[in-house]
Amino acid sequence: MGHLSQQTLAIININIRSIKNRLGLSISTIFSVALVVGVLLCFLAMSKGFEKTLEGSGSEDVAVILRSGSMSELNSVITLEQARIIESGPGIRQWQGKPMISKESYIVVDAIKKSSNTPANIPLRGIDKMGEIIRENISIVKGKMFTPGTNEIVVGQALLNNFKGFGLNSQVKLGNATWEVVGIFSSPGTVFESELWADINVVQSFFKRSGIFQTIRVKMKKPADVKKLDEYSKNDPRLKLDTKSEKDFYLEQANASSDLIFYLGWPLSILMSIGSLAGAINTMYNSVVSRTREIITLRVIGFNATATFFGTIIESLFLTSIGATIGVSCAYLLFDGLTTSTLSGNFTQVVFSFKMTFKLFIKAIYLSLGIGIVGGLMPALRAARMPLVKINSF
Amino acid sequence: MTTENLITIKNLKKTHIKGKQALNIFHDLNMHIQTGNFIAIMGPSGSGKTTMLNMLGGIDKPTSGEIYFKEDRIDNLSENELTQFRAMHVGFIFQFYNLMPMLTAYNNVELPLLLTDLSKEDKIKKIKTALEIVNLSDRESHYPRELSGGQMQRVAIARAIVSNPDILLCDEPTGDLDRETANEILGVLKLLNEELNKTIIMVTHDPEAARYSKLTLHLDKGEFNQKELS
Repeated sequence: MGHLSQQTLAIININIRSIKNRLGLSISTIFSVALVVGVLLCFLAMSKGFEKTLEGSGSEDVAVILRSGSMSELNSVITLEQARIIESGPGIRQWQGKPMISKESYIVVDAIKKSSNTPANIPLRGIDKMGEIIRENISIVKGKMFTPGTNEIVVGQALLNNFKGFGLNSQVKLGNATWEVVGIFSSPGTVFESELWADINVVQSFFKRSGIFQTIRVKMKKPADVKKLDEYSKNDPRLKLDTKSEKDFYLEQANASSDLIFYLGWPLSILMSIGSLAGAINTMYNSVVSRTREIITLRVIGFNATATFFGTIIESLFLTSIGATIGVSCAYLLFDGLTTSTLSGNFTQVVFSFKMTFKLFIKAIYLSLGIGIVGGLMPALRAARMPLVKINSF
Repeated sequence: MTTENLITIKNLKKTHIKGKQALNIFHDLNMHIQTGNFIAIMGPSGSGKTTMLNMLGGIDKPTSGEIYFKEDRIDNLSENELTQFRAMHVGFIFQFYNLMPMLTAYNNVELPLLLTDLSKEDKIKKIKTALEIVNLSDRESHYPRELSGGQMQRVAIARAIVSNPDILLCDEPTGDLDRETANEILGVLKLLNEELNKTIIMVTHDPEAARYSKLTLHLDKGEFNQKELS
């Protein structure tokens, strides 16, 4: 007997060449699978891009200190006295004889999104010279760094691209003060690019935060020293502070937000998949019913039921694969690298890029193959079990 | 030419169950079909002609009794074994041709050979020969929609004989054709029987068609006309 593969190939050939007889249904199945794959990839790429941006923002040897229990920089308060106690902590790297500690304020201000022309919260971070030194991957790409003691600001590249009115030399009203944009800084793929930076003292003064900081960043000698500083902080009753590495801090924020996107994306895709599945089943049943005569004839002349079964399953996979290819291609062309912004754990906008990865494509293709197999299963069983005595009914 | 028993039927019983009623199609039927015979089975609708053809071809099974193909019993074979049996020993010709509309005449004829381990060259040779026998060599690249009814039935005959089966089972092979074309097709069947010694069993309503056979069996109420049994 000829090989099963030879029989299956013959049946696939017949099935696929007869698709044109069911063009409308086949196209609707392809389209629905493309849509499911596209939507899923869009969510996953959004989640991945957001995650990458926040993950890329943190260093392992930089400790972030917040008030105990604060989930974000926004609702943290650290006093000057506490900051001074931290300066005496263990494992802190020195720079020109000074501990590398950046006391920072974090203020939410309004800006207009270019994409939707609607207002959104963006962060204004007050830092001093040490804040710039601790962040090693920052570079001024246009203009200059702000001058301490002035109302100059520098703007993150991603923020500039996504929000109105922050061009170099622009005058910007933030709070009750007018600021001048004197520089654009870049820190590729990090959350800092979604921020405005200004001198800490000026920010504290304009926003009435004198003597109060939201966060302290400390450059440690080595990553393990972050834990020592945490223990030091916990052992001092005057310091009710949480200390974690900057990497862990952003990782936690990334997980919370990207999980939200992720868990919204999958259920939505699964719901859409059910609709798509119904389309695939309908198409494949129609395919089997419209080819009843051919299927039974092949079975009667000696093609076996297994080949008939696989022939139908593979036809279903063929249709869903076309849908997946279209969905993946469209998602890649439309969304890969697309920059957008969303609310972060700090209740401010984080600008990030959709990130399509090979792993995401594989996930989307698995989903489409799942639709193909499940959609083709029952029709394939029906094809394989058709009673041969019906051959005389045609 | 050999005239051994190709098919032997012993105490065959076939009952159709419809609702609560059992309808006996055959009851205790015995017969032999010899190699090289050309048998026409006639009879009124519902007499069991097609059921008989289906059982001989391994498409249907008897309720009880035994069917032997040469020395081998086939009524108790599994579905897979019956599939193999049909592929190796039986060629089928249907009233409405049952060609694959999306395949050319050549590819339709090729189908049974996909079930064999023949080399590509041997397959091509056999397909060409089968198409030559039915006088359709010049139509091998035509699709069924481009062929007349008679030509389609010739393709179906070529498909039935291409793998050199022991027996051809024809269910109303001329039922969809006009008289002239029907005679051409019957001529081809007669040629296959006389020149190639193909055993043919043909179910027909048409007495004209039956005249091409060597033996006509009338089936009524589950029994053949005993006088005409071989």
